Amino acid sequence: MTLANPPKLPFRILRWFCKPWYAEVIEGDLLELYHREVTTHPAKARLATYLNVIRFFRWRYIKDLEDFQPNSPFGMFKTYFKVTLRSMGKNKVQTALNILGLSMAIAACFLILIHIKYQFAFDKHLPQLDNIYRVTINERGGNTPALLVKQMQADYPEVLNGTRIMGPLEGVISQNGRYIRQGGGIYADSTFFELFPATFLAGTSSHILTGPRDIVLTRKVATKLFQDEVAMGQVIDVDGDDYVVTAVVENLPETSSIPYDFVLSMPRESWVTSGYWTGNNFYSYLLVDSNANIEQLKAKFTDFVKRYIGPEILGFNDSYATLEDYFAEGHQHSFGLVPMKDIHLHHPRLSLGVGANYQSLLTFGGVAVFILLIACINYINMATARSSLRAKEIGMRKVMGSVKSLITQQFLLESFVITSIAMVAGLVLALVCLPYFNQVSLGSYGVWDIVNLENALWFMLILLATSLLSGIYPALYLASFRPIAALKGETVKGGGSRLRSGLVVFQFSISLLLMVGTYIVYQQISLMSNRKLGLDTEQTYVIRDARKIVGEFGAFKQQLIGHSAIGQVGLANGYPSGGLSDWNYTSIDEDRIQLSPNNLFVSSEIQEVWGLELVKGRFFSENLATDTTNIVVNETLVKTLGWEEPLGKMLGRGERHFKIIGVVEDFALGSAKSRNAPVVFRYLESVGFGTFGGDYLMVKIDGNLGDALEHIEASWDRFLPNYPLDGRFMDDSFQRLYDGERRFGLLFSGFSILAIVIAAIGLFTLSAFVLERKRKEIAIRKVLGARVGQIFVKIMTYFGRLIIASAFIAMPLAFYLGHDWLDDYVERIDLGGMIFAVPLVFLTLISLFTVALQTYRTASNNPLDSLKEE
Amino acid sequence: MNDMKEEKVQIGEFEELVLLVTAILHEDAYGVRVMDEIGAQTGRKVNISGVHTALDRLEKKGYLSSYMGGATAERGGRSKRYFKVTNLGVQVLEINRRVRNTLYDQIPKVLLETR
Repeated sequence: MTLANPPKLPFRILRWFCKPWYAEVIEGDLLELYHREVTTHPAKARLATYLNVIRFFRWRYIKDLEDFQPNSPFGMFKTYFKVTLRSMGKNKVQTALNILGLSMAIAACFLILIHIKYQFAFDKHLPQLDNIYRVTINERGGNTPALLVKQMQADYPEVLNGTRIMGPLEGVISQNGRYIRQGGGIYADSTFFELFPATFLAGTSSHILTGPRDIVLTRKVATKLFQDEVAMGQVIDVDGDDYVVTAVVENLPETSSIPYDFVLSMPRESWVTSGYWTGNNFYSYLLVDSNANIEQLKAKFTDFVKRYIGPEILGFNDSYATLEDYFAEGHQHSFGLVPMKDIHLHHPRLSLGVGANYQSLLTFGGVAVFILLIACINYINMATARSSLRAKEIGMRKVMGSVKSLITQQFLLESFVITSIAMVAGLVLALVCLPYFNQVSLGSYGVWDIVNLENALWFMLILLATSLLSGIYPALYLASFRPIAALKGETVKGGGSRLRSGLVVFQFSISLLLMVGTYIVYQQISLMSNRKLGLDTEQTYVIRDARKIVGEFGAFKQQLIGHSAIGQVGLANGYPSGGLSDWNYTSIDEDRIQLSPNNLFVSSEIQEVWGLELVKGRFFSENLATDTTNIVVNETLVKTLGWEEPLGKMLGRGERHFKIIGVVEDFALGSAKSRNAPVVFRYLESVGFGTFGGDYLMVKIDGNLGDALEHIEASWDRFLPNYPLDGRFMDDSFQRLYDGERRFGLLFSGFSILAIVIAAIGLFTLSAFVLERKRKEIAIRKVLGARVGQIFVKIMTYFGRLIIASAFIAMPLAFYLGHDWLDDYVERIDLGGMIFAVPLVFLTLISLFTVALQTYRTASNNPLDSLKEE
Repeated sequence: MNDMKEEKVQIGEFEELVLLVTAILHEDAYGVRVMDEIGAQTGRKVNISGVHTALDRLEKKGYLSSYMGGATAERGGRSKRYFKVTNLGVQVLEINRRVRNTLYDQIPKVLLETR
């Protein structure tokens, strides 16, 4: 028989993908078919061979990894994997609880991770970030003199560029008869975009903000105002002044510490060329040469103060001969530099947006790690507790020639598999919780903030860390079993029960710490929101933009008071909780004490509107023109100056002297973090209202709130058609001061609940296991006459001891940390016994309940069932 | 070996055909031969890969067993994989036949006579 040569290629392909054992048979069959046909139809035979090879490309014939690399341990891993799945299936409830705990912890880690990443991303989009510095005054103040930037640029060659910013402000933009209230406005120099570049959609970065009335809009605002029309070159009215749109820029990334929506040019050039060196109204940013030594530059500022500011200080204070005398009296005047890259995280007060709270970021990062640890401990406890169940398997493996390192690998693989499953579940959990997390963290994270390539790396890291943390101890422990003893069942002591107790104590301590922390935070919030303010904040309705109506104030007031639900109406240039400005005054007596009280311009009605309690003298009277030279002060001011009889005493400011005609009781000025400070009330002259800080209308409501608000809105609309009313209750304004604390409390309580739940899961599975092992013991005790209750008590004492031990660890720590946190608050709760007792009782109840459930089930069993098995 | 229960039989139509043909061929059942025999007995054109898959599946189910042998020149010296019907396989064939006959016998005569 002559054999025509069969084609080589199809067989080569076959041998490449097909398992060798199958390949032999398939090759034989294919060759047989080929030779049968090749004599009659050679081409068809060849084609058929190709087609058949392709048809054999089926899963069952394709090589495994082990076929490709016969010497790799892949096959072994395959069996490890199989054994893992089997042992998971054997203890379904425990495995599920373990995975549940881990996935909750991992979800918490994910959420905190993206939050921290977001906070660290601030301002990173700025190309010159590393070389931009903010000038501070007296170490922490952000407001600097008008002339500072220009003078520093002129004096110091290493200062390459600089810009000043004022703001942020909320402006009312009117356009075609519409009024739009738009926040996020800033005033800035023409150099603004040189330091903080933006993407220009219209216009160029040069020659903008050079004129006195230029405005740059972000895309967001441009679209709001002009929809599809071209914004460039249009004239818009901002708070009564006409501005020309000279550029439109792309919206800023959210991670910006200067979050502007529109930029106005500095309105008056005189602010640059003249102006006092002692008036601090601008934020100054400098671009410094990257080679410059910042410390050396800062050192030059002492001289700067002496040269430019010194003469003015001495000019205002004739009591000092030299600047040194001034400083010697405890006064301070110095400049510093804060790197732009530190502003968001480390100097939140200097941020124009919402600065980060670095301390709470660290706290939550730490809490997330601790929660992960609690979940890992659950795994460790379960794995070691269950070791007796695996002892025979390990013994057998060792007898068959496995070595310690291989068994370690096996159990590490097990923890890796479980962690991987928990990882996926945790990711889903994190996505589900995202909307709630956004509410408490003030974030606006989307799905893609969690699921992205960059995070994949972090996830791998968490996965590896978690599986190592939870897997390494059980793996080493299990691998150290002696084969003979393990097979005989001798090592089965339940494995490191002391270590397990220790780990449970650790879990309890963390849970307890978090619970006490939550309790402290909530008690403090409740104290702050309910503290006595000395003001009628709930009845005071604050309306902005009062200057619009001040000309017709009398008529407007009559219109409002006409309604039965409205008691009184007054004017003020500021209000407690709304940010106050301090002005310098000097006592006009032999002491000539200088002090900086909060300065408020108010109309005569304010005493009634705010509900101020007069201690001495009188408040301002409406028709008394001489009251413009009189002042009313609070008790703290009197105390500060040490006056016995304050009425008739004088305070001076510049050339003018003011006589004290009344003293009011102290009232809250801001959050509970701030101390009572001196206050000076000046009589409001309606001329020039709005030039000193804000301009507010204060309405006292004495009846149904809904009716009153309706009436206020209707009246406002009659006097100022279409002009948006912006009002709020002073109470809300006070409560908003504690928004940060509330969010902190919410997040904190969320995490502590998570920690408790995970620890309880661990306790539940662990106690189930401990009881399972003690089943015979309990049965024998019962046979010998013990009652269920006695057995109950015996088990409870064990866990009770653990709780007491953890209380000894957690309580001092909680006291220390709580004390530290409360240190910021002037008015604060006492760290009394209740604060520690309540969480302890709570934890005890939770854990006893968990254990009791399991104990009762075991203890009430018929002892015969447990004993007859042998 | 325990007797097979009817409801435990899991076999597809084509697999049953392959099992029958393997039984017919007795000592001479291997891939190409089974394929040829199916073609000769039923006129069905089947694929060699399909036959292999069916044989593998039947072996995994325990209805067939296999052994290697019989290398020839036209196969380029490659061995054949011969298949043999196991006891279980024989039981399956019997069960299937019985079920089919029982069912067939219950068809009303009318239906069969109208043809």
